[in-house]
Amino acid sequence: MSFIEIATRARTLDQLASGEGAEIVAVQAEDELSRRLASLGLCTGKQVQLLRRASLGGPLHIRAGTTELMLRIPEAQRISVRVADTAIVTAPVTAPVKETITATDIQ
Amino acid sequence: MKRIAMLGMPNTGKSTLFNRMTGAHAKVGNWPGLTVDLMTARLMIGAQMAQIIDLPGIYDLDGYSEDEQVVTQFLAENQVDAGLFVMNAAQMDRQLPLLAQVMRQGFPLVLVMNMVDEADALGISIDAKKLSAQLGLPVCLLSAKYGQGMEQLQPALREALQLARQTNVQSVPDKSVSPINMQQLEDALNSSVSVPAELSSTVTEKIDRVLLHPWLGLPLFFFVMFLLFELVFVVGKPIQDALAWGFAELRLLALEPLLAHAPALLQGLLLDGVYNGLTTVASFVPMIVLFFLCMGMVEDTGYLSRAAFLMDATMSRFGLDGRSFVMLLMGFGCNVPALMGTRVIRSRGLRLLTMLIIPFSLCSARMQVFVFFIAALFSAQAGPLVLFSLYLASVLAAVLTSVIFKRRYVNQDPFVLEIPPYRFPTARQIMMRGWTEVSHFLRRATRFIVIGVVLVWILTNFPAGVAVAGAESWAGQIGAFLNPLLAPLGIDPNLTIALIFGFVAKEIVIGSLAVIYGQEGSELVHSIAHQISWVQAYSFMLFTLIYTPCLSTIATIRTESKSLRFSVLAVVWPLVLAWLVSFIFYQTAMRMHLN
Repeated sequence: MSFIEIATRARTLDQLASGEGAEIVAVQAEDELSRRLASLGLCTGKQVQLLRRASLGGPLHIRAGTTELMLRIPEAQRISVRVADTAIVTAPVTAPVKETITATDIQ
Repeated sequence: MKRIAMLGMPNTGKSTLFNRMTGAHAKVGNWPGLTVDLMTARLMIGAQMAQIIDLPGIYDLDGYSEDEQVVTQFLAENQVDAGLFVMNAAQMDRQLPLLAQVMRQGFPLVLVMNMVDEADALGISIDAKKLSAQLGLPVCLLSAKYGQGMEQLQPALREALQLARQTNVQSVPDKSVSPINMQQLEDALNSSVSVPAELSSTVTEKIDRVLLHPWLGLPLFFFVMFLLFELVFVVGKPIQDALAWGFAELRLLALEPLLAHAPALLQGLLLDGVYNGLTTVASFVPMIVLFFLCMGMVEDTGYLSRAAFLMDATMSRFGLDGRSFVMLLMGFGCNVPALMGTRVIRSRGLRLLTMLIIPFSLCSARMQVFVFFIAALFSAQAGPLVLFSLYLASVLAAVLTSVIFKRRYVNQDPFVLEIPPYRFPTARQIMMRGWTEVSHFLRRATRFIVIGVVLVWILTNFPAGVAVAGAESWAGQIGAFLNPLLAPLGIDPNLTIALIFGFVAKEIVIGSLAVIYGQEGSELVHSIAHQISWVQAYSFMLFTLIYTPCLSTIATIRTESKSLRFSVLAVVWPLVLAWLVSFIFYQTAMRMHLN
């Protein structure tokens, strides 16, 4: 696996697409915040899924194990995740692919 | 007496379990070193009496939030004989660190796996016997909501108390030696609990797809709230009218003949003072009950934390967060518990800012004043809309205040909140809750109302011999004194007196009007409709909405903020804002000849 491949797969939680799942690889937060995150199920090694984003840049709706929670984007940026290969395959299903629409489609 | 402390994370159903175990016999108690009240109840465990204390839900024993400090301090300063650790059986993994911390406290524990119904629905299976053997603790698998498995608690608690007696001699917890570590806890959990790898699509997921829709979510939320108010109005109003009629008939047919020979002054005090005042307030109780039931149901379903999710982006622009919005909604019932609810906010800036805006929440006591004036001066069609406009005004006043003060009270709190699955409260839960809320309301109300209406009667009937509430009475003099200040708002001297008493508690306002006018029920509605215009009434309602809600709220702000300066601000600023808003409304309406 090349360096570039690894770099594209390591993302922060807020960069996931709606419906996409990933594994937490690191949480960069001060002691108190990291304990609060852990108490809601967000710690290294855990599987998470981004369920949806609130409109107007609001919080993210996350599922970690059987717990669902919300957190704001600045907090989500402190959580690094790795997207599993299977997740990459299933993720685009929920996201409409707009780029493929061409002039001929409309006609 | 043995003491049993209930511990656990928020949203694990601790209070539901507490209510299920103790019935409705809980009361609040004071504790050394704590400024907050905790729910306690007595319970027979085997042959001995024990006291059960419901501690606030916490994430961490080393945390810095006020709730977490309350629990740490309680454990430090009170002898605890046994602990009841309540876990959500569907989300056990993340609750282990707290369990480990509590196990290190040194008192015997009983582990309650609550919400076993939800765990079942998710396909999670728990081997309680195996888990109990591995942890060395009694484990009870139960559902406090449906009462399933409750019979295991008695023997488990008896066992724990037995153990407490044996270990009491060396009761100082030794934190250096941990009897069990996190790895052992995780191993125990992994070997006795199985969670399906792929969670099936749940009902919650389906509902969330609609209620948390990016664009439909918020309009839907406000529509649901509007329906709730409409329901309270449509169902509650006829009941209230019937009660008011009944009280008037009772006075006419029974009380007046009974007191016919009593001295005129006593007759006046009892009938026009106490009876008119009390019954006018009492006729609003059905409406309040309905409101509390509806609000409680919405709260129990978990919809409010979705509201926090939907509103957070908007609230953050005003220096607040989603939680502040939920507290504001809770304040629609009563401001006092909402103010105490801000303890979960750790940032002092955000907490003070939220405490500054909660008193603008249109609480049920104010609603009662508004329902009265709306019935007197608006048509049945316009009624719900007028009430809804006041709710909007309430939110706008809160937002405006927040925008003005957000630089002074800065929010540094990270926003991380659980979104519980949708839960539908059982009839039992709804009734219990309704009863608790109503009894609190009645206790608060009767204390103030009786004193309040008697005072109003004295002010309006003395010095002796003057026309009731006339210009020469004490009330009239006070009204005349304040008139230059309130006349530009369209508020007449009679309403001014009601406002002065409203400072103590809004529950008194209608009662004091009944005393001032010497009338009750539909007669009172008639006189007021003849004396003031709808513009004056609306201006009065705006002022009532925005100025100081009641003495209890001020007292709560004082104890929760622990700052005199902040408390003074929380009294003065709403007064200024109330005057400005009413002034602008009344003067604009007069210019536009809306009268």
